[in-house]
Amino acid sequence: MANKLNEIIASQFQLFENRLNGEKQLPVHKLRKDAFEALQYNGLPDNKNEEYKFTRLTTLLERSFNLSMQNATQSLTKKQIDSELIKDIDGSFLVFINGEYSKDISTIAEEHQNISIQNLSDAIKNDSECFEHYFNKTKSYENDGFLSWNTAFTETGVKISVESNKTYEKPIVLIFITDAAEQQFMGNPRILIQIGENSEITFLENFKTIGDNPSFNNLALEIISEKASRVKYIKVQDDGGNTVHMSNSMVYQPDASNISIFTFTFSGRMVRNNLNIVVDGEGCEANMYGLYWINGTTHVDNHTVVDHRKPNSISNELYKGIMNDESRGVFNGKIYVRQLAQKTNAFQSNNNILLSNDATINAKPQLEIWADDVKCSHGCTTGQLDDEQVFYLRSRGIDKDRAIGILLQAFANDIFDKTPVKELRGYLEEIVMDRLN
Amino acid sequence: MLSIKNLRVSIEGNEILKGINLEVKAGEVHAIMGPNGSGKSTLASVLSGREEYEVNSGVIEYMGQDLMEMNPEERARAGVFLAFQYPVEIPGVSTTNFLKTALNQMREHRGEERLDAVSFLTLMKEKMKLVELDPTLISRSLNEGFSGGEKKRNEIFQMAMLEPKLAILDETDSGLDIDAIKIVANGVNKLKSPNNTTIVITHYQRLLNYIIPDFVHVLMNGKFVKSGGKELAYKLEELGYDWIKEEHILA
Repeated sequence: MANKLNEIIASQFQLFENRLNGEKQLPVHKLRKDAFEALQYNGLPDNKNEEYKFTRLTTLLERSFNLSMQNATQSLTKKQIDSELIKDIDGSFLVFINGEYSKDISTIAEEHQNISIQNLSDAIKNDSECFEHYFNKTKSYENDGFLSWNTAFTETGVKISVESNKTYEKPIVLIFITDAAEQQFMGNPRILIQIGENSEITFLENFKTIGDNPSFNNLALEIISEKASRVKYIKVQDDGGNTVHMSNSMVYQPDASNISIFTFTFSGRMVRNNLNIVVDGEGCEANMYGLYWINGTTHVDNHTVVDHRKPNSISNELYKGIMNDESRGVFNGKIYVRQLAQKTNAFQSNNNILLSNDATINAKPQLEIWADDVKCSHGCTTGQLDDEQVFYLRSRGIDKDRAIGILLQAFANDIFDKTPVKELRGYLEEIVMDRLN
Repeated sequence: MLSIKNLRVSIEGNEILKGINLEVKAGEVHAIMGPNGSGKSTLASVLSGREEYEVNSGVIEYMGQDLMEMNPEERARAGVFLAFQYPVEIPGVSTTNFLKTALNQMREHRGEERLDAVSFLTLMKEKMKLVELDPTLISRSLNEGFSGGEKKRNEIFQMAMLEPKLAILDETDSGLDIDAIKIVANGVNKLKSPNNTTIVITHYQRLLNYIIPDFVHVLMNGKFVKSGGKELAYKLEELGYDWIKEEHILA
């Protein structure tokens, strides 16, 4: 089966190359070809692959998608798109349709006028030197097949560059609209973010699919920050029930940089998030917060890797999960502390609540520590709601559903409370209230 | 107000209450005393609607309603309140938010309007004074990290807020020093009215120095073996439970 998939991807790559014409001379194409060859050699990960044994994404793609079908040209109206946007946030809104940056629908806040925002394909053509300098520099040593796929087909998406010494109050919201109204969609969007020295900014990413045909977004996100930068990046994953989402997020941290990644997952058919943070500087702080609150048959897999390569940095990870119905969660958190990375503080915690007998969680914390003077801890819990707590609330006149809701919200509040964009709180609460009713 | 007839209750096949009869009228204070393991807390649990108990026979009538047909929240809304022996810690839920939700759900069920923020705060301040509750506690997570005394005071504070008709205090004195007992008892006494009733469950007599009962019932081995006025409590304090045991065996 994997061979057949390889053949299809090979013929797609052929078509892609033919379409590129002269662009094949650009340096980025060498990277595409390398990635394509790696993918041809390794194939997409199947369930024999340890990292994907609980998340049979490749099988799902084979079964539910016609892999040789070309994407249709998008047919959405502005009104349809408009209704899918997260609103009430004071910031810039970058709208992407099928991965393509749409300037007309996007709005840039006054504060963000000096930030360079480029359609990825334009950046590849017009800014190839700079592009080459930053593109694909954070690739994970784990060589994820989906990341290779994305890199081989890199074309759509965005490149954002933030100058040095700028602090931005407002967030940049990236909204990816996928058109699955007429037929299936498969795409490889890419977000490349470069943050100058001592700058501070917040991003919010959201994918929305219109239409009920299957959609698959194989996203790659790279955040290359420079010294003393402070970046917050929030993913809100609440896409439709027929959507499959793969994301490889790669963060590179030099000295004194601070990064916080938030991953909220509420829906979708299958969602897999690979988050790889390379702490390659001293005095860094990396925060990873995740909340997956799922029901139905949604499958969510969070794989995180923090690689401490230099001394005196902190990483802090907290992922919480609530699973109802037949939903399935997977958490896999790796912390590497290399020999050079003395005085590292690395904390990891994963807590899960199962609300039904058919919901499952597979959790696997992993620590690999080669340095001897470090503080590391990890903890993982899975349980049900505490009956005693439910009874206590009911005995004060609160009905059972409300009592359960209060306890679940309290559980999730650890993560909600840390969310930096305060207007987002209302949006998230609406999803939660919907879920509870 | 409350009428219990021939109540038999078991948990996991063991019979704990073996035929309880009790009549409680509005305005009365009843004390239920008894040695450890006699079934006192089981009775409190059954009255408040804990689900892990099996009621094998008997009737509990509360204000004309069959209490066993009501779930815990329905009982609470009808005015039944249990002050827990071991109040539960609930991280992430503040006492304020919890009480606001509880009070408003009760009001909704009585067809009353929700309390606005100002009236709610005023009410809280007033009731906090009653049990001398440290105001910083109520913005903290419910009972989390509270001392034993603070937890019990918080129970009485909740009772004051929810104004029950039938309050059951389950070993509220356990783990409290004498000053804390006085404060808790003082709170309970102030809440007393001709329309409500308190059942005080306790192992020791000392709480009854401050909450004066109209009736004292001695529970032993799942049955009431003796009832009397407040003087029965003094006698128990002096002589312990053994004399009743003997009397009971002889009878």
